[in-house]
Amino acid sequence: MKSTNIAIALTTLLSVGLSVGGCAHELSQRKLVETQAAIDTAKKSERATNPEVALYVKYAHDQLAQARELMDDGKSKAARRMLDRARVDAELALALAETARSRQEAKEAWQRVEDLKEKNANKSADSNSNDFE
Amino acid sequence: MKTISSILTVLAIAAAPAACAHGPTSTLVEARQEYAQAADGPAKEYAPVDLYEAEKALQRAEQAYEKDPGSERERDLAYVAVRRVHIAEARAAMRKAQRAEQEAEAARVATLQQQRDRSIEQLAQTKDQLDDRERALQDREDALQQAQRERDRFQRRLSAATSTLEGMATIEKDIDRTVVILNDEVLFEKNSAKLIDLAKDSLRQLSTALKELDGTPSIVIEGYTDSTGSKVHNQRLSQERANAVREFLVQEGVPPKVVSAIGFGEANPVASNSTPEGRANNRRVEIVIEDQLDGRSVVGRGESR
Repeated sequence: MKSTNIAIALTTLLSVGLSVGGCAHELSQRKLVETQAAIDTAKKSERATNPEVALYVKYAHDQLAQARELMDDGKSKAARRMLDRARVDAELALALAETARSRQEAKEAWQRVEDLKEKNANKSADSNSNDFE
Repeated sequence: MKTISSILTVLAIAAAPAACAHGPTSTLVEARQEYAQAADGPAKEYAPVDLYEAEKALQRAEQAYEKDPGSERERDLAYVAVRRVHIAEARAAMRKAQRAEQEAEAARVATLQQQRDRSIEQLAQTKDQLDDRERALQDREDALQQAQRERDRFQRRLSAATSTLEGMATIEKDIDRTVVILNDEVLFEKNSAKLIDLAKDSLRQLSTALKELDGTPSIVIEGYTDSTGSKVHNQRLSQERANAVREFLVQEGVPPKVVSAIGFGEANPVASNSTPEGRANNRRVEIVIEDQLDGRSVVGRGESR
């Protein structure tokens, strides 16, 4: 899934960023952008109208705004942690969206089986009277 | 659970140095509880990697707690841990649903295969029915052809049989019967039922040919007179003449069962009785030869009129 790949990419970037250690502000800037991307993906997901998904998208969005403020106040460590919170909420939103979709698909798949079995039952009832003599 | 007991150990150690330590943040407490629940549930089987990530996140939060209990850092890390637990649970639910979908697909395929097998079976049955029908038709056609062949053979032999009488008799061939018409002059002495020698020679040849007929022919000998004399007399004479021919044929070896003799008297004239020629034509014997292939009952030409 594309969104999962984004999440993985973001996590990788994060760990690389931390081990390199460079300029805190630059890293936070990058993290900001990536976190926003994760939130956007979650928003665009099919289940964005799902209330649970929407809730975590909102958390992510609000925490991202808080992170920006913290960065502006120079509190880079706190900002980073807030970004982590935002990102994990975006990831959770996505996971919930995917779960909802999988559940729906499973439900539809079983419905198809039921329909097929019912069609079968009807067909064999008809064909029994089909012997041509 | 190993992980839960390790957390409890951490808690015990962390609780020991009371000093000015805060308790854990409510978020960390939540994280511990959520993790303990999840570790015991479907996430263990269906999302072990995500659950492990949650465990690591919880450990980072615990480390933050040890360093600085009640801090914002501890809370933030615990927050992430809680979400990681929920992600693990969501992924587990997703995989369970995916597995359910796969099972549904397998069930659908199995049902389709069942359908297909049933259709194949029905097709085979229908084919068998058709084959049987075709075989029956073929058998019927073969039987018809066989019957035709036998009829043709009968006709050929009958032609051979009656050809011996050419010149003496009139031979009428219908689809299902052959009629040999002989005038009384070539058969009998005048006004009697006694066969003349000429007749015996011809009838002998006829009987030889008749004996060689296959199948079950039926031979009806019909006697007819003209209208001179009384009806009673003519009836008797015609019957006696028919009998005479029959007796001779039987004598010559034609099976008695297949030959019968009927006298019709002056009935069924074939010509006008007012002229000598006409009367001569009416004084006759008709030998009706039928093939009995289809088991029809014997009906001489006289009766069918």
